[in-house]
Amino acid sequence: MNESTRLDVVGRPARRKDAGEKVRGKAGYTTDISLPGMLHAKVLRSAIAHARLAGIDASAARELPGVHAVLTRDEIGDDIAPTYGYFIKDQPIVALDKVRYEGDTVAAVAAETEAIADAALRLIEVEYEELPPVASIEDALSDGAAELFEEAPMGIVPAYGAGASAELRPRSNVCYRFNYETGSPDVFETCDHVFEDTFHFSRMQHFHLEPFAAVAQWLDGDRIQVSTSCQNPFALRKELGRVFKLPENNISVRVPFVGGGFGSKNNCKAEPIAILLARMTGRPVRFALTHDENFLTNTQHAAILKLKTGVMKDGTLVARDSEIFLDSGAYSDASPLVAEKAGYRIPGPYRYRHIRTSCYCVMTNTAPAGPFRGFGGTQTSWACESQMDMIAGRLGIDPLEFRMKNLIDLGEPFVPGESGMDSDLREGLELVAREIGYRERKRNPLPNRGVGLALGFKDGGGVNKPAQARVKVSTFGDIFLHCGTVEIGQGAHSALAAVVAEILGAPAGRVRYMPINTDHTPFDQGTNASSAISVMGQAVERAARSLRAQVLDFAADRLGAEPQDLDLEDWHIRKGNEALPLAPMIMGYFGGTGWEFTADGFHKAETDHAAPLETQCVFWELGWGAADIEVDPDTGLITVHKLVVSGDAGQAINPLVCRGQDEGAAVMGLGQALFEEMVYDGTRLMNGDALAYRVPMAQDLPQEFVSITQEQGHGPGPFGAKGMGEGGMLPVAPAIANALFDATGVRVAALPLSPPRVKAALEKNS
Amino acid sequence: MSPLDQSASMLPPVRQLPPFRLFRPTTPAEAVEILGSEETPPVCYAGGTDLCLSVHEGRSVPSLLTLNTLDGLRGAEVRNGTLAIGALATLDELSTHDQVTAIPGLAGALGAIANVRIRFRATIGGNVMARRTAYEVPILLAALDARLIFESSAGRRELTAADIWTAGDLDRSLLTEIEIPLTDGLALDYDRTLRPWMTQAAATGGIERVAVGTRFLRPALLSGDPGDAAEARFSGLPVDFNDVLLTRDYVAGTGAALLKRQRARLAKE
Amino acid sequence: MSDTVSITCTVNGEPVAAEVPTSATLADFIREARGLTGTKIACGHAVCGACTVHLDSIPVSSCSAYAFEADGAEIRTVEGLEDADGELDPVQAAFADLSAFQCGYCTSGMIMLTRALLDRDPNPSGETIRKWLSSNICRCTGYELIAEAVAKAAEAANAETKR
Repeated sequence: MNESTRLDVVGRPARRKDAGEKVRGKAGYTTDISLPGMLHAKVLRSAIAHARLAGIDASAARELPGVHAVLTRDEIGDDIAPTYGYFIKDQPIVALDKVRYEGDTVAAVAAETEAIADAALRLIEVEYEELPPVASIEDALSDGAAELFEEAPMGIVPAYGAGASAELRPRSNVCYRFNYETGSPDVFETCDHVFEDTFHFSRMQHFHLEPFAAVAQWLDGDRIQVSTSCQNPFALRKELGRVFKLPENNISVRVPFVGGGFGSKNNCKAEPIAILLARMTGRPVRFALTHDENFLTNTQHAAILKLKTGVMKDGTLVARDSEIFLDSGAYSDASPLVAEKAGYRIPGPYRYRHIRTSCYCVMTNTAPAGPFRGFGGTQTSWACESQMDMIAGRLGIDPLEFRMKNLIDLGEPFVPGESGMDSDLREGLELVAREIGYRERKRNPLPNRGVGLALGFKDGGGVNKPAQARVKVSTFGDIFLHCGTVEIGQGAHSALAAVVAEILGAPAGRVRYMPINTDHTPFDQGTNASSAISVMGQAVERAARSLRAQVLDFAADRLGAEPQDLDLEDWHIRKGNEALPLAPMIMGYFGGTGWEFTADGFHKAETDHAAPLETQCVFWELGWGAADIEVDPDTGLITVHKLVVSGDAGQAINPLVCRGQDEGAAVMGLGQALFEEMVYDGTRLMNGDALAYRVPMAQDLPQEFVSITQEQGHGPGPFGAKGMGEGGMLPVAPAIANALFDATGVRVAALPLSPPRVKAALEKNS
Repeated sequence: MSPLDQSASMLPPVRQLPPFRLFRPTTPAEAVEILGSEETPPVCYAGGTDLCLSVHEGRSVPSLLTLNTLDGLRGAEVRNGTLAIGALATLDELSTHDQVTAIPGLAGALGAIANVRIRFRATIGGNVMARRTAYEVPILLAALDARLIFESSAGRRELTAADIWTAGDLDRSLLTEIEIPLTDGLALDYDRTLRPWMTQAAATGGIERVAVGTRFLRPALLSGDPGDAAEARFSGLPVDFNDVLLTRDYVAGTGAALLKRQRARLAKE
Repeated sequence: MSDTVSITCTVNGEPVAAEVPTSATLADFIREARGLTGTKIACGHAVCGACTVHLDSIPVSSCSAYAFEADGAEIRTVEGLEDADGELDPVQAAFADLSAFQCGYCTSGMIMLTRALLDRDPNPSGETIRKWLSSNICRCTGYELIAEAVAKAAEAANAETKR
């Protein structure tokens, strides 16, 4: 059956389910929650990058009227595990022995108002013994550098499959190293050329508008209830269970609408302090950071990427050896996971006979780096796609043809043991090349103008990611969708509801996405890795199909018919020309109170030791990009005349929402390319507020901005859908750098492509 | 290893202040009287766009004097060979004010700073008194050789636009007016294309004044004969005009390139 | 002189008399005293515009204005845009129809900014729209769909007027 010919809900640019609430100002976020007796928390942060904590005196703060509790290391008892983290448990709830960056949490206060909490913080006296700061990757790896952790924190290395491995703390100030290798390095000997290039990647902040926030309370003394702005409530629950030494069924995590995350809102952020202060005071505690504090809580990874690529003179890629250094900041957060992905993605979507990669998580006395849209793929796409053009130029081959020659075919595994490529990469590249007028412009170049292409690439859908969904339908056909995908702006609730509506033959308005509460929402690993449609979508699809089968079986029994002769249409049974309402049929059998049909669905990629990351990749996320730019040689200013981005949605569940994902991602990439970065002077962040830290505004959009949602139909999700949301960011910076090279013959291998940097490169060249 | 005290602790950005004493004078004279007589001078408040940022940064506000209840200090008028601008005039008001056209280029420059929403509220005086290197009015005023007129119980005080970065004892004074001498042929060109790295204001009218602003450095004012080579204008740029985002060499070279364009645009006026 | 001030104003057309702390921001007053949480506080210092409301028809950052300034003023928030029957304002409808929002945290501010624009200029050019939208930050959408929604809202309102 070719379902795409008869989709009623899927594929339409309908209003999102959250449209009404959001345009009316009625959508509820964690920051909007107010509970009776609720106290407000604030934290004291270190203004020193690296110091031993010699002493804290909070007695005056405790005496201040309106203060209910002050939390320092002295209040941390044996009843809790004082540190948290993903693979490595190295981040303390409040500083224990040391502070490790400017902004590290030293103490926390719960008070009647934020103003009182703030006043109390001013009364806390802290004595520090300063240690030498470690400001950068180079600093951290230099001989005699101070160590952030004198002893190795507790950590784990997960199981890896063929060719992949990792180790904890392979050397001083490196908390994790991921390695991958396939094929024999001997093939380098056969290469006509081996090119070695180094790339630098700058650091952004997520700049989600809703800050990190949590509202916590204790029920009956031993049960935690926490509402939080969080992307992965179940992983958070598990970590809170470990920290607070509680069974998971004593911890209820609720997630209302989330005001943006872009990766940052995974695992413990505001929650442990809110929960601990709530326990100390016996009152609900709200801990909402300010927007400025977001900059001190989680960031993207700055990186140095060293690529060594072997190639034949006809342009056939042979081998890629790479070393990647990620600036992880002061605590490991998700760095090991990002390292895994950066290390794995560095070859790009091209065919090689040998790949070897090592990715290091380097600790520095700066804000912790963590998950960020692209998750290592932004860093690797920057380096890989820049080097593709550099190699093409050195070989005298057109960069488009060079890519075309080496791209993986549709269906071809990325590396041995992996799943096949589920997009036609050449089709997408041809599309954006045509839209930017690539070939015409190469034939007729304009002064100081250039065009560039890039193909961003990442494995999507997470690693070994289980997701579970439940669909219920009441007597009158009201549909309940229970699953743990968080609505963080991406439109997942609407998309997943549309899948259910499509399968159950119902209008989308009949489906309600139920509030997320880990007490009864089915398990999900987290809202990340563009997994909502590709992973959770499959669980939801299975639940809906199972429920549909139950209903048809039930109706077949009642009607004395065969299920295959029946159809489901807006809670009526279609039998030939008859449409029979289900409600009377249900009450006739189950009684007047009625009944609920319930079905569960589950998805997880099979564990597979032949796959390097232990499961095959769920889907491949691509971002094709092309830029037409002009550079002002007198100032170094780049003007983007036209930017083209394209992703492959497989099958768009809602084309407007897919477009918004690609455009939003592309504009984030545009900021990274041209101006947006966290500026550090040593260990001091120079632009940690919204005024000083510049993000793209409407005025920064290119004169022409074209996004094209491809629907190639090869995705694993419902109706052929693939994940969206990260791909559009990946190609933008390298496409612009490649266009700059096309315009000037000058290669800039560091971001952002700011006027001073570009002008310096132009002058060096002339 | 040096033991440090609590000053090494970073206070969180303050979102909510404790209640403060509030003064709501209705005349400039009353405002000046309050500023002069209170034991701790109140913090002045007008458009609010900067005060909340400085509160975030830890500025304490024991008392607040709102200027929004004042009669006057708004608008602009040409008188006695100067353009006199009320300190409480908003950027939006000035960007369409007919008297401001006395200086070609000024209204357009004021209408390009910040954004529509901010310009409705932000006052020209507030932009100056914030004393923030990232703000742009001081750059324009430096190039225009403007005078800042302050009133206090001690009397009237006049400063140049550049003085605000160094002048002390302003917390008991009220900025009332900004006066720009209307020299022959005075016109302004303000180039923001390189914002946020640098912006540059160039004014003609007798001598040429060029003011360069960056995100982290106080504006540099470079003046001289309009017939000088553009490069020569930047020879006086302070040797330490560097920050984490740009070098002196970049500013000098790029500034000269911008100045050539600015001169060409001004010549067309 | 006390720590509170009395204010009388209208909020979305409804007369309100209140005693507020001198230091309460307009956003505090709207969100906490009036319970209108559609107005969001994000950056906290007038940069992002998520907290945009109308104070006497001027779009202002309520995080950086004080509640005492509302004395004698008309305040309009996102909750005040729909009509008595719950019919969406054309701006709200256009944002909903074009999915000109994602996480929604900037949306109230964007809608109030757009409403202020259309109140002044019912037929804004593309350039004017972009200039106005450059007042507020949206981190999710990339702005294109928002700009299209503003144009659509203007068209819809003008079609309504002609009829």
